[in-house]
Order: sequence, then C-alpha cells, then structure tokens
Amino acid sequence: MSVGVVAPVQSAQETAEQRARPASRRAVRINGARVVSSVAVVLLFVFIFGPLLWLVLWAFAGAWRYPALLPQQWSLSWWLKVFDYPSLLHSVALSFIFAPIVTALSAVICLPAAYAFSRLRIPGRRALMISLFSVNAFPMIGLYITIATLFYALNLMGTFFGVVLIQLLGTIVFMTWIPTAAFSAVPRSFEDAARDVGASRLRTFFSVTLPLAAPGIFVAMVLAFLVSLDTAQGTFLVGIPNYVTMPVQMYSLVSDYPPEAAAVFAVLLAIPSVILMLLVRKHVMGGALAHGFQV
Amino acid sequence: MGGETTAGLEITDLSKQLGGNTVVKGISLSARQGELVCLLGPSGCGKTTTLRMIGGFLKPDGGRIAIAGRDVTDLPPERRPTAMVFQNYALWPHMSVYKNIAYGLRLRKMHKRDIDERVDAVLKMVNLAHLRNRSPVALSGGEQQRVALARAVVLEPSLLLLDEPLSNLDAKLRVGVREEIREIQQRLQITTVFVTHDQDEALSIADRIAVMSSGNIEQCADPDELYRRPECRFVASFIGTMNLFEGRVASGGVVIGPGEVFVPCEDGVLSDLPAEDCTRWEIAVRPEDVRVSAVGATDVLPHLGSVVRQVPHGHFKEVLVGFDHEVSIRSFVGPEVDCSGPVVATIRRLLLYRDGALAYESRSPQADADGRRIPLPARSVAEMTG
Repeated sequence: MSVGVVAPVQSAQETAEQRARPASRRAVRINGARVVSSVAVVLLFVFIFGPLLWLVLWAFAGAWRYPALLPQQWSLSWWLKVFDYPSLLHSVALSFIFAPIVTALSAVICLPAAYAFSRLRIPGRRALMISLFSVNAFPMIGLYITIATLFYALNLMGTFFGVVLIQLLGTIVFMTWIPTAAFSAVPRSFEDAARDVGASRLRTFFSVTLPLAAPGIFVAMVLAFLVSLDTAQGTFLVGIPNYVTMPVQMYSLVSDYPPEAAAVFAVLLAIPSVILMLLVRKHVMGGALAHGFQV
Repeated sequence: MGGETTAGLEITDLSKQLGGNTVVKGISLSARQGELVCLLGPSGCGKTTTLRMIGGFLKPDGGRIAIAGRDVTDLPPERRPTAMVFQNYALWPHMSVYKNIAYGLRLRKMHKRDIDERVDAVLKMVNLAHLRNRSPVALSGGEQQRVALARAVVLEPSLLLLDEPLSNLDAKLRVGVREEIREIQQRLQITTVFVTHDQDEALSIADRIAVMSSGNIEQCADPDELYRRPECRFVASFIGTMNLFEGRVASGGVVIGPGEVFVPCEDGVLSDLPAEDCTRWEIAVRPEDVRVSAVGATDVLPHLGSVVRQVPHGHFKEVLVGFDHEVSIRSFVGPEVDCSGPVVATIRRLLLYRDGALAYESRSPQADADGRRIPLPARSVAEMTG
C-alpha cells in the first residue's frame, strides 16, 4: 500500500523536472525572439522617422554639407522666407475651406451607405464594398487625367465644385468602410431594446445606433479631413490656377526655392495632420480603425 | 387583480419560416391576466422565435397575436404594450442606469419629476437605488439583469417578455434572481412570457409551462401536471428524470426489452389493463416510483437485480439497478435502503405510451399515502446520466 503511494509521487517529481528543462530552453528562445523583434521595431522606427527627422533638420538648417551629421549652421531664415511668400496665407485658408466641405459632403454621401451596408440585406453587398477599393487600385494620376477630360466636358475644370469632387474621391473608401464596421459593431439587441420601449426607427438611430458608432465615424471623418488637406495631384490638375491649396503651393515652392524652403513647408503641412491624429489617437488605438477590416 | 377571464395574451395559429425552415408551426397559446407562462424547450425548438414575434421583432407568416384583448399582429414593437428583457440584457452602454430606465418614459413625454419618481421607485424595487448614476458597463451580471428588468417594468407593460434572462448568470445567482423575478411579477401582476431551456427554472417559477419541440407546443400545463402526466413521449423524456423502456404488460408486472426482463408492479398499477397483452408499449416510470428493497441471500426470486451505481443526494440517494440483458432502472430511494446485496425493484406507478402519445396512466401509488415524496433533482441527474 505504502509503495503504491510513494511511486506516483516520485514519478510526479520526475515529470516536473522534465517539464522544467524544456521550459528553460523555451525561455532562452523567447529572449532570442524578443531581441530580434526589438531590432525590427527599431529599424522600422528609423525607416519611418529617419526621413521625417532629416526633413525637420533641413527646415532649421542654415548650412548643411556632407559628411556632417548635423547642420553646420542653424537658421530660421527659411521660415521667414516661406511666411513672406505672397500667396501662402491664402492657400492655407483655402485648404481649410475645402477640407470641412469635403468632409461634410463625404459624410452625407457615405454614412447612409455605410448604414445600409451594415443593416440592410443588399444583394451583392460584399462585391459592392470591395468595388469601392477600385478607386485606390489604380495610380491616381491616371485616374485624374481621365476624370479631367470628363471635367472639361462638364465645365468643371478650375471650379470650386470640381476641386471638391476630386478630393471627395479619395475619401469614399474609408468613409464607407470604417463607419460600416462601426454600425455593425452596435449589437442589434441594443436597437431592439430601444424599439421595445417605444422608440421609432429614426429615434432609435439617433439615440442608440449613432452615439455608439460615433467614435468610428469620428475617426473616418478625421481621415477624410486629412485626405482633403493632402490631396495635391488632383487639386493641382483640376484647381489650377484658381484654387491653389497648401499641397499645390508646395509644388511651386519646390521649383522656386532651395530644398530648405520645401522642408519648412512640409513641416507646416504636417502640423494639422499631427494635431488631428493625436486627437483621435484614443479611438484609433481603441480599435475603431481596426474594425474597418472586420466587416 | 384584473378580472380572471380577461386574456393577457392570446396567440392563435402562429407560424414563421426562417431561412426555408418552418421554425414555428401554427402554435396557439393563451395566458390569463397576471399569469406567468414559460416557453420551455431545447435550443432550436422555436421558443425564442415565438417570443420575438410576440414582441414585434419578427413578422409572423400566419396567425394572430392579441395582447389584453387587442390585436397587435401588425404593430411594430414600439407600439405594442410589451416590454422585453433581452438575453444579453441590451443595456445601452452610453447611458447611465438612470437614463437606461428613464428612456422609455422620456419618449412618453412625461414630466421630469414623474420620471424621477418612477425610476427611483423601480430601482428601489430591484434593490439598485445606490447604482442610479453608474454606467451599466460597470455592473455585475446580476445587477445588469436587474436593471434590464427595471427598464422593462417601469413602463408598466401589459405583457412582460423574458428571453432566457438567467442564462448568463452563474448557478447560485440564478436561483436568487429567478425568485426575485417571480416575486416582482406576482406583486405587479404582470402577464409574463418567460423563455428558457432550463426545466428547473420553468418548473420553479411558472404558473403554466408550454413545452416546445421543433416548432410545436407538445403540452401546455401547470408544472405539477406536466411532471406527473406528460402527454407525449417527448415531454416524458424532457421533463425531469424518466426511465423509458420498450416492453409489454404481463401478469403482475411489465416485461422489458428484447431480453424479456420481468419487473413486478404493485397491486393496482396495471388494474385497468388486461393482464396479458401483447401490445408493445413505451413504458415510462419516474425514479421515485420505483421501490428498491434488499432481499436475503436465501430468497430465490426470478427477477433479482443489483445496484450498479449509487449517488448520494443527502436526504435521498439515486441508484441504478442493473438486471440481465443490460436492462437498468434508475430509482430514488431513502438513504436507509441497503444496496449492497441483491435487490428487487417494484414499480409503483407507470405511464404507457403508444406512437409517442400517452395511452395509459396508472392511478397514484398508495405509497404516496405514507407522505414521503422525494423531490426532483432535475439538473444533477441529467448531468450524471449524460
């Protein structure tokens, strides 16, 4: 009897040791993996932020010659030159007129579509949603040129509305996809519960569905705003010479001035993007953006 | 207490197809004002579909639904006098507990002061007054459940609908909450339809239970009747624990299975049947209707069995008595019964089914007279046999 009790204990110890040994080996492997992934993260970081850093350095450089790692001379002179550029303020203002209009229009067009994609049974729903990507599937410049011929025929070249339309094009995909995911993430039972206590369909939408989908919609709108701010080629092609927005202005700056001025302007252009992204960071990190790919 | 004759709910010939399957096959059901009716059945039997049709979330393909005497078949959910507690509670996470409950009242354009009064009263009733301004996300499952119930009853609906409201709670909490639900339902005298797949739950809180199976109501009766006198084989096997055998009736007992194992019955159990009858029956016997008694080693009886498994339940034990040819009978016996040696099993009451329908029911056993009735441990037994 006693033997019978002892034996299992011994074997239990043995198996515990056996288990411990591979575990330590596994620990080494995990550390190895961690080192590799750390290096990869650092490389990625350098790859993304290196050029940006270089750009910022150029913006404040007075003189910078090879092989120095940092500029030999620091200066704000290019900033002053850029701010003195005659039409700069005008183009900034113009960009900030276009962006809200494009965002609002995009919301008006895409949000109902997103709701429909999410809640209604539409034949070919998936195909329709994927077809929205076709806009991004071609090189934009080719698309713009084809559209330009169309715009000439419709007398839209050089018009305010023409610029709005061309900028709108780039916002359609995520202005539909992200809110579709956001609407889909609202459980049906939440809506049923609202109907149950007496809310009409419309009322249910505004007091339950929309508030719960709002973070995702907000992210989509911020992205649309940024796209409108940054669309250079399309705006250049359609808007010139009447509507010169910030990114279009940059083209002429690059051709008229040395790289330092372009760097200054690039940094200026980045400011609204950085501010807006910081604003929505919580929602992007929180998964509302990630939802875009779960539909 | 409204008039006893007014129907709280009247369903006639309701049917529904979903995805090519007929999920509900023309069922009729009524509930008196103030009555709690359970829809009980395995998953996929159509009980939730029926509830969603009553609530207005699904449009029936055929049949009518009337609530408190008014036909509501064509009304959308917001215009029905129903309130539902959803399985996942469906509390709106962007509103506080107070706002969740007040929402329906605000839609009715009530005065702010009246709304406050009613919300506070209902919160007090479910013992959640201290959580008034919390977000529902921060509540435990049991608390969320009570908020959902409060949100439904604050509207003083004519009909309360509960969709498996306890399935997300742990076992201990479930019993407490279901008693609370019953208590509130009785106090407010709300006609209630309660959907569940848990027979224990149904038997303990319902006035009447409608057992559903593949889109039909198999039987609708009060819990006692349902347990004592299942009208069909499905209900017999679904409710509680039941010994079910194929067999025939012989003189003084039944003969079970292809192995022809004879099990004696007490006097009177088969009194209304011809002694020798070659009909093949489905024989159904409750474990508490099987008497197990030890026999001395010297006794030579043709139908001896032995206890192959026993599970103590405190004040009684569950034993499985094995016979030849792999026949075994489950029985609930007192803890004092000696199960070590050979035993004899005697049937005190049985039900006979033919083609799935109840054909014969023996009179209540005399043993009931000695006042010892063993309560049914429905859940534990089902798990053990599973």
